[in-house]
Amino acid sequence: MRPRSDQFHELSSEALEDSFLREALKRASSSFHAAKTDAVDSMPDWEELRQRGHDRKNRAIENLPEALEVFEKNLRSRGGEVHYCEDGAAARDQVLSIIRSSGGRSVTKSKSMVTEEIALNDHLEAAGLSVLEGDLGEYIIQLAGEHPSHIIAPAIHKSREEVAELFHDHLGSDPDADIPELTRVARETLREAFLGADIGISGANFVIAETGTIVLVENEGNIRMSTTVPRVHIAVVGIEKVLPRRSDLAALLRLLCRSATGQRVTSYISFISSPRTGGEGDGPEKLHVVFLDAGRSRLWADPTQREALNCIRCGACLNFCPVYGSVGGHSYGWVYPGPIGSVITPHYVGIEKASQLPQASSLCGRCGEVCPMKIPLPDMLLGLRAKAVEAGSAGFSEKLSMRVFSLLARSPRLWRLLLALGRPFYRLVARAGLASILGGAARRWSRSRSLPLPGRSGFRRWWREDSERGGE
Amino acid sequence: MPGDYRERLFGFLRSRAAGQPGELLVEDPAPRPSTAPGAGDDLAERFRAELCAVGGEAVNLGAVEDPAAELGNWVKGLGLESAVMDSDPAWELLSLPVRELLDSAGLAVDSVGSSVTPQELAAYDLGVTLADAAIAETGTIVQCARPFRPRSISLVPRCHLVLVPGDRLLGGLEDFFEGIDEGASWAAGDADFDSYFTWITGPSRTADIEKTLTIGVHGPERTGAFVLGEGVSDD
Ligand code: SF4
Repeated sequence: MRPRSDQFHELSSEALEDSFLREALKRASSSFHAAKTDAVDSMPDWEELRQRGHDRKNRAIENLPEALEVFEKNLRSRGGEVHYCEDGAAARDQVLSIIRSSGGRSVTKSKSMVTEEIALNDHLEAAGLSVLEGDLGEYIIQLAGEHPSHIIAPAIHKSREEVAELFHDHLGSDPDADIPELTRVARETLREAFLGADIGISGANFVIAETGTIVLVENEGNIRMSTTVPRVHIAVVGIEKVLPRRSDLAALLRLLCRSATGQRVTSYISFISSPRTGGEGDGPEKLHVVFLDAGRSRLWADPTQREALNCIRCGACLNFCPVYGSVGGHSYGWVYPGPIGSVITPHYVGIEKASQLPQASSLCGRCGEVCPMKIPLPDMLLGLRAKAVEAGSAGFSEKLSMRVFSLLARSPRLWRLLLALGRPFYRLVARAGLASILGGAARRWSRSRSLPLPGRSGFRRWWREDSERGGE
Repeated sequence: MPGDYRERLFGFLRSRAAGQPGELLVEDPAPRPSTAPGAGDDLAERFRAELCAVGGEAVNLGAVEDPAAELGNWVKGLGLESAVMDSDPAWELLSLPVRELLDSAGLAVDSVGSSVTPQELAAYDLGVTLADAAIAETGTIVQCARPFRPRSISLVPRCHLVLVPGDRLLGGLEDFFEGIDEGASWAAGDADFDSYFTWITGPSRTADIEKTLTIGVHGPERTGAFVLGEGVSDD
């Protein structure tokens, strides 16, 4: 997918005009919130669990070359094959050459962000293969010719009516079909495709060094289909997905499932360490893991940002992010939205192509609090802002405002003076509504926001007076 | 050449790796969270409650008066026509006559070996298997690679019936992972957890349209798990 992350402002202001999207985001975030909060409340050891997850994942990331090597050795010893690809283009070619040499024609894919990242579908279709997304949300997006807007719920921006219309146009189903009926229609269409497919492509939630295992977490069963029925299974996996030991999954699966959907565990979790064994009649005859770098080793080499590779793609930081909650996933302009997207996208596509993303945050800190892997997302966003300024990709006004701010921040007198002048003005503006006095982009920005009314006196005065009163 | 990138990548990573040599696989036993059931807990009851909470159906046959009638009634209630069983030798060890119960519930029952294809299996209404393990903490059924059982028998038929031998019911996730690492009795013999296994927790589900929960997408729409009072020792 061609990154458009340098257009966050344009994309997000379009999104803000879309009232269905805003409704959908609100509904989704409240249902995700409730589920995750329940799941975490019912786990008194949540903090210990986060620490454990963080420590075990760090163990693999700190020892990344060894972890990959051990994984490779173990998978190969049971007949799997492992490939390493420098970038998206190399990975696409690798996948295509595996398909070609196996004589496969029809591909079913299960939901995977990394195959979105490398735009695998377009490449395979251009090569004359039929590719069908097996996950219901991805299938909807594929029919609509769009891209996912959430890493757990890709079609979150689509209404039931839109899906019914899509299915009616493409599959001839009832234009007024309800959700169970739409699901049934998709099941039937996809069932046929699964049973006829000769290539199954998946991502991986984790790979285990110790046992050479690919771990896949899902609810629908499409991943089990794609990894059981076709003759060939290809897993496209970021090099950062590795964990040291199989027993680490006890903690990591709890963290992932509870944070993603609030489930204790999802309906299906597959642990694949081998192609079909001697006695088995199904399961793939060939198993390939295609490891993708595409910027990950560069990110890994930066100790201040390395922890971003600990991400298990649970989506919690999106669900709790007020910015994501207003503008939705497409505004981020590439495959990974939300706070984690703002952190990793600049590394993967280049900071000059994503300079606006580190600003797409109010730095409220929720993302860091909810992240099951304890990734310090707010700190990383701040670090990236500084990098964007250094790299010269910040705009003139931003550089100027940074300078002015640092001047003010260093001079308490100037600071107080400006605050005293600013307060009456700000009260006026907040009363009148910000949009009424601004023009252009600032006006669009302000239409969807309201300002809180400030108190009459400042914090400093309150503090002084309060201390005089004895802090009661 | 893809081989070239492997060398370059490893060269780069090795020049910057921060860990201590040999620490990757050092044992680091997982602490057991207080939510995982432990010794003294009623595992069958916990398993039943957890599975039912996620839309599965579960009965502890050890606690009912007439297990055969209980199972037979559930199967009849499905209103299905055909069933397919794997050829697990352990069926013979059970005192509960599962195949006869299916027959007398009016289903046409076939037993298949592992060479049956997913396409053939998709024609059946009900897949019937024995659990290789079950985890009470989450209401999870585990199926591993076995020479007599196709992987898709628990996936492509519309419904799945699974019997859980009492000696394969475990407490928490840690008990499961320790068991397969240490080769517990249920993880020995031809139970091949090192090649493949899958966890099944309730029916297939999606919430992809407007976050509305819908049951039965690609996998079975009904999953019935019956915990047996008896075990099937593998040795
Ligand atoms: S950064 Fe943390 S919260 Fe966000 S998706 Fe990754 S693991 Fe989840």
